[in-house]
Amino acid sequence: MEEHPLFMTKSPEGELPPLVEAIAQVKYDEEMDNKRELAQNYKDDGNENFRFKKYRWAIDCYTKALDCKIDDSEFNSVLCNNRASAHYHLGNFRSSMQDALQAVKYKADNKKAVLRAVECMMKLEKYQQCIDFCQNSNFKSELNSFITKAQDELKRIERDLRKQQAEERRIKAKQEEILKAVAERKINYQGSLFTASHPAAEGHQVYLNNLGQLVWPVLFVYPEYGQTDFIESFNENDSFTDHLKLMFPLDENHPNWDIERKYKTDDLKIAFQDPRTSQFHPFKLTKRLKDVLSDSKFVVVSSVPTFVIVPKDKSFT
Amino acid sequence: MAESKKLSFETIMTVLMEKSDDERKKFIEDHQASIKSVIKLVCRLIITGDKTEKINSLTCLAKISEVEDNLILTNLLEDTAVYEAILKPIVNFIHNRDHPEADSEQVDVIKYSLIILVNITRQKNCVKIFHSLLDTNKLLSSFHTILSNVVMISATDKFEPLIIELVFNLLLNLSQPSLILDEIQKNQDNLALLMKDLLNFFEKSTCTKIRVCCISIIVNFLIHGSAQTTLLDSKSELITKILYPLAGPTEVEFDDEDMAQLPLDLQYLPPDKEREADNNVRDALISCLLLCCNTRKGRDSLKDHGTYYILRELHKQEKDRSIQKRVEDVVDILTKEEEEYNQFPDLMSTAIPEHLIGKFDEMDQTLLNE
Repeated sequence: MEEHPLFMTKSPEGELPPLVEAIAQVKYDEEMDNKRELAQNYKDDGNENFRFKKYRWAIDCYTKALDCKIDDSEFNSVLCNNRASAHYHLGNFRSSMQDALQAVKYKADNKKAVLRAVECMMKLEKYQQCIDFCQNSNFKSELNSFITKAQDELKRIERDLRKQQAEERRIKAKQEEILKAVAERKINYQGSLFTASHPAAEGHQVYLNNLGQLVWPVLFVYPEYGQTDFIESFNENDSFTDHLKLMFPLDENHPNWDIERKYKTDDLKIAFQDPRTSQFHPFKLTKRLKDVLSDSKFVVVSSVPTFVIVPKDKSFT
Repeated sequence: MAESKKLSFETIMTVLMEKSDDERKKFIEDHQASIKSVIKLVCRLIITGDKTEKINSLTCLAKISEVEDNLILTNLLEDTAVYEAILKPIVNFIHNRDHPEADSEQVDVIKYSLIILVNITRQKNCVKIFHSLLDTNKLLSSFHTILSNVVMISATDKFEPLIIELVFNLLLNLSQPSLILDEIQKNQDNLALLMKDLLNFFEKSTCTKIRVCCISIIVNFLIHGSAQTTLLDSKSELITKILYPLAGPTEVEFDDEDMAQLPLDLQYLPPDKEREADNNVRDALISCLLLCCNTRKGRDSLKDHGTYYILRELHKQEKDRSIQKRVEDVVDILTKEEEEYNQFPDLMSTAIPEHLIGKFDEMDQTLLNE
């Protein structure tokens, strides 16, 4: 079966049968006196391929036809437009637009090409170019719907830009409010308060709640087991005991890694490290976050206050 | 000219030229009888006098026209030569866009002739003058030509702003409803074009008087309910352009839900967006909206453009009580159910019983005084 030309899945390799080659030579003979006829042949082949949705082959045929450089702008205009259509069907809107524009250049009243160019511009979101093109076109009155649509899109883009700027302004104002609250509390920090480097902290940052309280993302580090806990919302008025009680409940929800079950709120001690001196500063678990943060030795590093927690019998280092 | 008459005439001229506005007006009103003959004399001098006399008489006539516009109009209509003399420089001015450097004398002639014309075209019976200024067969397109000429002239800075202002005033007078009604109904394409240019110039101009004129001309168009279909065509964006100066920083004033009701151009306007500061401009803009309330098409269009939301915020900020009241009028109409208007396809032509008219005015007045 495979060997029969009708059922071949691949084109035959090697040389073409002599007869086929001869026909091909006659059909596409560059030396032919009548270049016009050659170009016409390529064009017809292109159209044939186009009909069977073989757009890539069609494009090749139209290109060869155009390469014949026939001095007939009407003919060339049609070729360019046909190639533009093939490109359009393949989703090559940029090439399609260029061909369509070329077709219009060859012949200003090639309406099909004008429409094709406009459609491509809309696809490529070149709205301003589209409006300018329509307004200078011979078919301006028929292109009004495109002009309106492009103008609408432009308005939408401008609106979106304003909206984005509004959003940026809103965030900035909020951040300034937070920075003011942080400054009032005399809290030290390094780098930005709004971009976290810890992966768990991503998307979480300190915020002001409606009561004007700062709510922080907080990281607990347990060096003994190399474990961490990330608390998304730690109200500055909460004490550390409040949160540790939740972290280490006495029931089945107790973390697995604490095999010895020695992490109980009453048996833990906590400290923070001053990045400037690398010294640890222990403090009472009953303290509120607010009071610890305002400590002159405390520094918030990369937006997340971090604390080290160890059992009472261990040291922090 | 007899010596005694000449003397008194010169006295009158001096009084007219030199007295302050109020004194002059009083003088003209007090000397009704003699003013009539002064007008006649002055008109003659415009034709027969020497250069200085011509300018002086034009100035004088311009001053009188502030009060006695009707008298002058009648006189001009009788005396074709004078009428031509006043009209010619204006026709020449407004129908051309290229003007060589004019000397101050020519500018004065244009200025005072314009003042006279503006004053006398306030009258409804100025039809003849109207026809000399505009090509009756192509009314709107010649209106349009004049407008674009004036815009071009104003861009060159060759003439003082007052002259441009006067031309706009003249156009405003010529757009008075009774004069252009037929044409508006016949020639909608030109109407759309004309309005587009008016809106453009309104947006560009920095002179509040000209801005008021642009909008007032549109008001004159909107009075014709039948023209509203053309004027409110979505392409013209009339409502959006009227609402834009009335809108504040929408970004701050609206939540996302209300924002979605506004045209794209009005959404998320930044905090530094200011409302139109001039009372007269705002008032003219509100007049447009009020007239749009007149037809179904107009009301639908206002509703589609989120007019209510813009007016709601404007109302909060508006310091001028009478404008605020007119905002309320528009909102009153917009917030009513459309069924209530089914009986009144054209609100403007709805007859109001006479005994109620005074009552309505009275009610408005009490509201304003509150």
